[in-house]
Amino acid sequence: MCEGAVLRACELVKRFGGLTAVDRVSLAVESGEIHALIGPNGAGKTTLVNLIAGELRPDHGRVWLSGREITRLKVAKRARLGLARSFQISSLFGSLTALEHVALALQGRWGSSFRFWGDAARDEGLLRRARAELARVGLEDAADVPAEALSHGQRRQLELAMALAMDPVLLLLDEPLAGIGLEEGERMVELLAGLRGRVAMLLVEHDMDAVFRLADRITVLTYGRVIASGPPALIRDHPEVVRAYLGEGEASDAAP
Amino acid sequence: MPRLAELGLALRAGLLTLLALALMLPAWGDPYVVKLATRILVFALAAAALDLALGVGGMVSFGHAAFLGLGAYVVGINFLHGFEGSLLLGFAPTQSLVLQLVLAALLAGGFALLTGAISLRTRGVAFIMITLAFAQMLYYLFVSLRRYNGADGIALWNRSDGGLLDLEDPVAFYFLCLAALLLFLFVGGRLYHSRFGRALRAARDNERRAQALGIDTYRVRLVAYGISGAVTGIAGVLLANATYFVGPAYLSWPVSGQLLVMVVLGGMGTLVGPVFGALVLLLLEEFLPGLLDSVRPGLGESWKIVLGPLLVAIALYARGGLWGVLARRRVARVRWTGPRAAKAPRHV
Repeated sequence: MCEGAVLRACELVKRFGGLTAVDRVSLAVESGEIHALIGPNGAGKTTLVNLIAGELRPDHGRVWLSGREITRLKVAKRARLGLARSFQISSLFGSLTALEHVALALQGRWGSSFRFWGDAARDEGLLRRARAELARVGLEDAADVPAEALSHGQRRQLELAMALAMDPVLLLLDEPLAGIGLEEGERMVELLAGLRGRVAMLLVEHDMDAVFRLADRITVLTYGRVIASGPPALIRDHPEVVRAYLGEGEASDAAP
Repeated sequence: MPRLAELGLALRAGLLTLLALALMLPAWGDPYVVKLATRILVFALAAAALDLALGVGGMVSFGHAAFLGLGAYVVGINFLHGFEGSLLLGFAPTQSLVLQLVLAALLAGGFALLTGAISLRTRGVAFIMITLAFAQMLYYLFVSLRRYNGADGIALWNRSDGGLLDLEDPVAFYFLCLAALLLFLFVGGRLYHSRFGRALRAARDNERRAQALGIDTYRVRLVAYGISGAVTGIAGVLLANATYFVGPAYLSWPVSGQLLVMVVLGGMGTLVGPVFGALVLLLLEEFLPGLLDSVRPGLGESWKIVLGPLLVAIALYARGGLWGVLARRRVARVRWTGPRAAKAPRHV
């Protein structure tokens, strides 16, 4: 049951003291699929993302990436296997330019960080590829701008450019739309939609419009448990999901 | 470490003048000046090497005296065995400078890798204390090592064998130290701007993010720590030759502290800044007592009371150290003015 697919998490459990943040969660992301993970605040989404990315070790359960078990691998090793992630709060290197950020992502993915001599800023092979990756997300004009001078939306785009530069097997996006404006959000949704079928994605997002537009499949998490998983049409009308989001009383009113 | 091309004209001219002064200094003909300048160069090399770990790598090592001392003891132990005509671990001792440099780099670098493999699993204050502990361990080892004169150390009757270069000639030895420092600044600069240097700085600035990009921050740091240790060991070989002496004091924590002060004073993470830190600190240590005595006889004895607050003031008011003050506003900053209105279509 636990093999196949690009990403497969099986029976993951993570406890913090008495709290079970993730409780026997299993999910799979098939190749080329956009799989959204939703749930109210505190449902354990971020914990689950961190279990998959390798920042946390599960107390129980296992994780596979392209058929290879990665449960015990370190974050960096998982990244080199093609697991690219973006962070909920843009996490960048302040003084580096956008182009340097993408170049760093490339060298990280290629595992070429132990080259001691050549000047990375004049490395044409690296730069050409980095420029192309920036152009993919429409940031080519900001190539030489330090990350700290970019707008919030541009930083999110840069995060995506870095993740895409890693030629990901799986893209792990932790709230890519959080805190960005309508116009920039729209652009991000279009960017992500354009990647459908090419890159498998696990998308954690609060913006339900975006989720229902993008997702091929949705998994709903509450109190660390999966309460529903399936195509958007199914999830929209799922009684337990409606209850989790709208609260007990309203749900019974809405569905007499 | 800044690129030369990014520095202001005045600063570049200043650096060039300083280099010219360094090259012409022996022509002054004062042996005391050459000796002092040699000592400054050796400590500048050690401080720059420490900065690779401390400033560029974000690893606050309080134990770099260990690597300096190991390098120095390579010279001292070989000298002692050569003097006695005895074997060293079954091998004939070597007085060759080149071999001693290689040995020192291997030994100090190896010790750095070994201790770094353990200490780099910790962060912050724990890392500082562990590096200090390893260095003190080595200090007590050499203090108790009767075979090599324990706390008394080893007085050297002559310097290492420099082959074509006669190291007994103070001027030749001075130029050797200058060459070593310049070589490391060049190599260090390449390292800083290489992919490795980028990975190292990324690990320093945002470790979690760097790991998510596939960078093995632990290994990158460890390698940088090893290189830093090896170069400090090389400085140790030069130090022993400069002072004609090797003793456990070279491995003691005040020496580690002194190197730290040089780096912070000069400007962390710049490699070239610590050279100025070493210059200023050693000049102050040398001339501050006399200067104070000339103000009021007897005041010179308490020069440390003046030096301490002076260092605190520099640390507080000169963020980025002396180099930060020198290079301020000289590095051109790119300003982002928004996307250009008319954008040519691009091929993707």
